[in-house]
Amino acid sequence: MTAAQAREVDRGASVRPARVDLATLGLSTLGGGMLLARIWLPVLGPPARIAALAGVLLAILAASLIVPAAPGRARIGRGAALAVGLAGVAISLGTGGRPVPAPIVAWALPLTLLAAVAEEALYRRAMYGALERRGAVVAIGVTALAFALVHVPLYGLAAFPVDLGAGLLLSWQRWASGTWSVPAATHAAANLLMTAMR
Amino acid sequence: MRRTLAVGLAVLIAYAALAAWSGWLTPLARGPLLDGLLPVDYRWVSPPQELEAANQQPSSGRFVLPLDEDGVDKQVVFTSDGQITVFVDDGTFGPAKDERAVRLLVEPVDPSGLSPPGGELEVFGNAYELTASLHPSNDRIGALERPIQVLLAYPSTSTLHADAHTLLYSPDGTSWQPLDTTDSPGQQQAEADMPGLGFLIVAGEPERHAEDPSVSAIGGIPPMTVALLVAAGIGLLVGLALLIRSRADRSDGDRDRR
Repeated sequence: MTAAQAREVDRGASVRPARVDLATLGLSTLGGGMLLARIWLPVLGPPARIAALAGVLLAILAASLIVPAAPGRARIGRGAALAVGLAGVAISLGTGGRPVPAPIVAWALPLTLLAAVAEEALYRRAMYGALERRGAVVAIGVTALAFALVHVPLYGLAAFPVDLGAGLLLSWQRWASGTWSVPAATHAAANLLMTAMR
Repeated sequence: MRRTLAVGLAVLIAYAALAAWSGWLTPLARGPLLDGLLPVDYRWVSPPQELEAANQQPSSGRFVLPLDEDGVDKQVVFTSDGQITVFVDDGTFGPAKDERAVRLLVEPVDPSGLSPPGGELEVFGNAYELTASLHPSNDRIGALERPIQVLLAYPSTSTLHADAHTLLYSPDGTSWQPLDTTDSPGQQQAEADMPGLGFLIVAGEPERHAEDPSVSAIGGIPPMTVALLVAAGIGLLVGLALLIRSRADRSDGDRDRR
């Protein structure tokens, strides 16, 4: 992207009405609440639980794609941003340790991939886009914090550091590549690895 | 570009350090990312009636831990169904003259044959019995040199659900001692240090639906209400997104006309 194009992109983001960004932040909060509601789903029984979980994730994905988001400015190539993200996942697997075994169900794999894409659409497309006018530090920091906090009720307080670190890296990828598809690919790879190693 | 990559490198280092911190806090937080809510396919020794048809029997585990002059070395063992993981630390089983190994046996047990946990607590899933003997003498091991860290999966069903879970230990299955437990409802697993060999269960206080005490519920909300709330949330989320989109499109139209 040339400097002139970059200025156009920045101008496009800045002319979007503030109330649209505010409403998108409200939508992101509601989406985060829906992610938290996953903890209720076991009371529904096995078939209904799967349907409800898939429904929640698909709704978050759809809503996050429906809201307008200005195109981001790429600071490095997508391949380079993806490579840094995948390296981060691999190194953190080494420092954090191998995930413990768990008796997970066969359809966990598609669900965990759907969760990765839906969460990235919510945090790195909708929420990041709504915060971008406040600066990259705020957009990266707030989306990473929200991402980490939403997982605490499900995975316990001990999960907060690793999910905060992952959130920072994924949000950095959004800033560096200008697109949410790069963090979505990294997140999907991390979830795939976690599922496969169990 | 160099500045962007430098920031990325700094974030990567912070991520690796934070992952190490989580993994150090509990084995339940190990891995590059805790996400996805992977539902558990729990195997019961004695399943509730509604799950009998689909139930598979849980796995036992027989593990041979080599002994040297310092006792056993640090290692992690788990049953093939992944329902119980045992973290054996260096010297958990001490050295023994003329012995070459420790045989650790992990066996799922029907908890109805053991004492109930007491109070409002209910057992979630199977009990597990851990026994150990020396090889080649076959002498039974009665005590541990230090506690072993144990991680147990538990079920969560439409009739058995709790917000918090605790691991309870008993050397003989007659009275239970609560352990300092790390619970991960998203993974349906709980972890604690087991002070000796014997029995282990996961227990919790199921919340009951006021109108039907046999039905579990969260915060007193029955399953049908949970389903309706989820459906309403989905509708609200998509509806709000469509509303934001239409307002944004209208703003763009107004700006273009100007």
